[in-house]
Amino acid sequence: MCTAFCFAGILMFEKKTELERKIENNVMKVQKPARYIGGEVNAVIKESDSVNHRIAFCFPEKYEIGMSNLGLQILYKSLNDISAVQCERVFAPDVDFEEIMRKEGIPLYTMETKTAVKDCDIFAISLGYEMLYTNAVNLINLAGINLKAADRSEDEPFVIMGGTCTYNPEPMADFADAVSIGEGEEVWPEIVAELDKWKKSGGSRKEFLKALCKLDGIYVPSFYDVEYNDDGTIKSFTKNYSEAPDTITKRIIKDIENSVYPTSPVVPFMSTVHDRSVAEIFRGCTRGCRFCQAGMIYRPIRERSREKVRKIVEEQINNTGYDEISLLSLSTGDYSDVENLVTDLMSFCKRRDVSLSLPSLRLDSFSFKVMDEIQGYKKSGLTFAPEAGTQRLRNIINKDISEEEILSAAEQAFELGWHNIKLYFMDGLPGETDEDLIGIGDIAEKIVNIYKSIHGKTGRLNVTVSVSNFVPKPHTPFQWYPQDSDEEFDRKHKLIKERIKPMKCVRLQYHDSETSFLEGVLARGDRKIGRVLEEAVRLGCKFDGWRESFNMERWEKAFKNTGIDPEFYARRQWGYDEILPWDHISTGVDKEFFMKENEKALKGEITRDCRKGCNACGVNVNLGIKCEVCNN
Amino acid sequence: MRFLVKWTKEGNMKYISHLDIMRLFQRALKRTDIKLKYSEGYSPHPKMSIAQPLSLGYTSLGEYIELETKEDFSTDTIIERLNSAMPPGVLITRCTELKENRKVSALIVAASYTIGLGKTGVDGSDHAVSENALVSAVENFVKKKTIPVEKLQKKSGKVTEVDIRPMVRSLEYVSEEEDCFLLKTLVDTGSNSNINPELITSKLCEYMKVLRENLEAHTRREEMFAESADGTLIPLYLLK
Repeated sequence: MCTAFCFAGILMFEKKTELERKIENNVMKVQKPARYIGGEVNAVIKESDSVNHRIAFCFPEKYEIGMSNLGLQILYKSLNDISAVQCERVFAPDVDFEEIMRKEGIPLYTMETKTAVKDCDIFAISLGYEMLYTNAVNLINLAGINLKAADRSEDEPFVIMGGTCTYNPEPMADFADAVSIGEGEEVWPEIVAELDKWKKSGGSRKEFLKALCKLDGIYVPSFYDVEYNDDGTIKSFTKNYSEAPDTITKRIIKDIENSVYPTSPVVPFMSTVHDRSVAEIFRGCTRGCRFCQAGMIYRPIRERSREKVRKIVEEQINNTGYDEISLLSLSTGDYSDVENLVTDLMSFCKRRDVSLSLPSLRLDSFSFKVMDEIQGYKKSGLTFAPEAGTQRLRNIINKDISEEEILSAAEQAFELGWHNIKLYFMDGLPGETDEDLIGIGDIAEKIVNIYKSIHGKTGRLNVTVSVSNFVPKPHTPFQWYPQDSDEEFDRKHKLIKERIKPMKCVRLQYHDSETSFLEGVLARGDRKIGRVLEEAVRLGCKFDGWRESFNMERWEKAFKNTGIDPEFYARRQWGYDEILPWDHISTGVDKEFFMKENEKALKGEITRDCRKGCNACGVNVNLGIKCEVCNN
Repeated sequence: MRFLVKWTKEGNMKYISHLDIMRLFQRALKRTDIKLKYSEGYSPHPKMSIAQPLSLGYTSLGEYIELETKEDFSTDTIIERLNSAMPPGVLITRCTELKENRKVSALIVAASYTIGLGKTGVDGSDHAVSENALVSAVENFVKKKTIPVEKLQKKSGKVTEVDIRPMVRSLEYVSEEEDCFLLKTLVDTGSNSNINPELITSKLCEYMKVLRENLEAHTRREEMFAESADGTLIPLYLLK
């Protein structure tokens, strides 16, 4: 019997800080405690003696979403590669845990060392999409930090924001001490160097911000004042600190091949949204779809070599033990050496017993051969994105795909044994008519008929038509367009639904119009939107990206209480001559290029893929970088 | 080759669920290039199973996992490789090769636990438990012939009455530590008869007139046992 109890003398109550004890006593009361405890494989925890700067890096969503974000893992590595820095992850606690945290006085804390965020030097927040804004504001509050940068005292952390959404930083400007525009890998070490210098100098909070704004790609909102016209448009945007830049140009990694990449990413215990190894094969996109913000703001295209991708994949599998690899880019099929890359990876995966997932391949014969081999007899589904129902509208949005291509791809897919097809479309696009919407149903019908002609019946066929509502985004040729009203979206959904209804094997999915409207308001918001966000959070808005927590009534109240008209932002035709809230931010693409593209859209003229010749968007000149495809 | 691996689950690992632990082992095996055999069939899965999943929130010094590898390894290699790939809180302590073709986890009949009861209440009050009260609560528990407890049936949602006394093979007060009192207990575990030690803790609270919610309690599984032909208990790692 003695073997059973020989460890009983070991103290079961480990020494803990008060915060750790509080977390421990409460975390079992909530769903999925694994979200809140850290300690995962590859998490970086340094001896506190060696740490001079503590940075809380937050993706303001639930753990399982945040942990799937590649940007977070890249910057986590970039910062922790600096020996004196401890970068720690922070996510949004789910509603059940937040309630307990507030009741029990548990402030927002970091995963690695369970340090209160308010005791860190910097609270970095990544804004990947607009619906995270309320979470971000709520988390600053949960951390016990003053919401507005202007109210923060000398000893509070600096709140620095970054991520895709900050290409229009204005809606979040009041809450940010500084904003990092563009790719963060190189600028974060520079921020740390400034932090180090500033701490040693013993200067004031403002002095640190003054130093920061001199770094390329850093925007300090408090150094700029905005004045408005009576109609609500911007009258002037002027700096109040003469040494601040007039235009903040995005940071960009020029040498992607040798840039920092996480080959030992943190491996979550619990299952997450993207529970797999990820290799980013290139940044940017050459297609120039006019609605697509990502295709504009991530220019120019920069590829990693096949050897590098292969090395990343191998190291990641060795260091994580994942059983799936996914390639990441805006369009895998456009990788210049895609056939060799994929062939190479397939043999690696076979050898290591790892599955390979290839999003966004082109609809060519090579892709089918590959997909057939990867998916074998367990074929899941194939996804096509025609985006619009007619060639006319596809020309307007510059989506270079023809109906013949879609149909012949579907035919090949059916012949090879696929039964599930998903089609992505948008509604509410500029220049759209009801015919274009009916065209969505026409394409679905033609696909059904192709299946019938091959198999004789609809049998196992499953076609999903997914329609998302067009939201005009900053830094795109369509940034001046009014967004459709809820009623108009609803009418369009109904129209598509009726066209599709008789087809039993076709299923329609569409997005909720209210969410799209709010996304539109926040995407093109100016600084006044900060007041609305503060009020919305006060009223309890959070997790707006989740259907079960999104509450439009609260938002309507927030707009009403602050006297801000959301229609002004989403449903107005903006003018070429007005100052856009994001005009001081440069992605490297000229505003004139967006205008030119918009004019071409009106005429239904297409713009060629950059790989077929330079379209003079300006990015190479403005960013001082040679474009890999057009060589300009 | 078939192996029985003994491992610990300590610190924050106690919050990691059974399914997540399975995934942790799968990834650790992959990282260290130990390939498992797969079952036959339409949807093959690796031959690996964790014996008697531990309740979420408990630590353990006596967890077990059975593995069947494709290639041959020495038991030391398995221990070494897995330990190189585990996060803090999981430590492989033993590995034995299983010669007999049987599922060892099916042989488990009992498990021993240490229960630590905090001296300070969750609310910060310092009157939670006294040594005298605890000793007499334990005596009270042990001398009872039956201890009926209401139990919620997970599937039907019905509340049924269960007598937990026969399932508790032993319960003793061990010692007073800096911030807690330690108890040890040996209870039925396995498919025939199974009891969660939380039921003992709750009962003792009732006897001591202490609110369970205000008591900080830590439970640690120490070992799991099979039964030999003569009825004596054998720690699982001694099985071949």
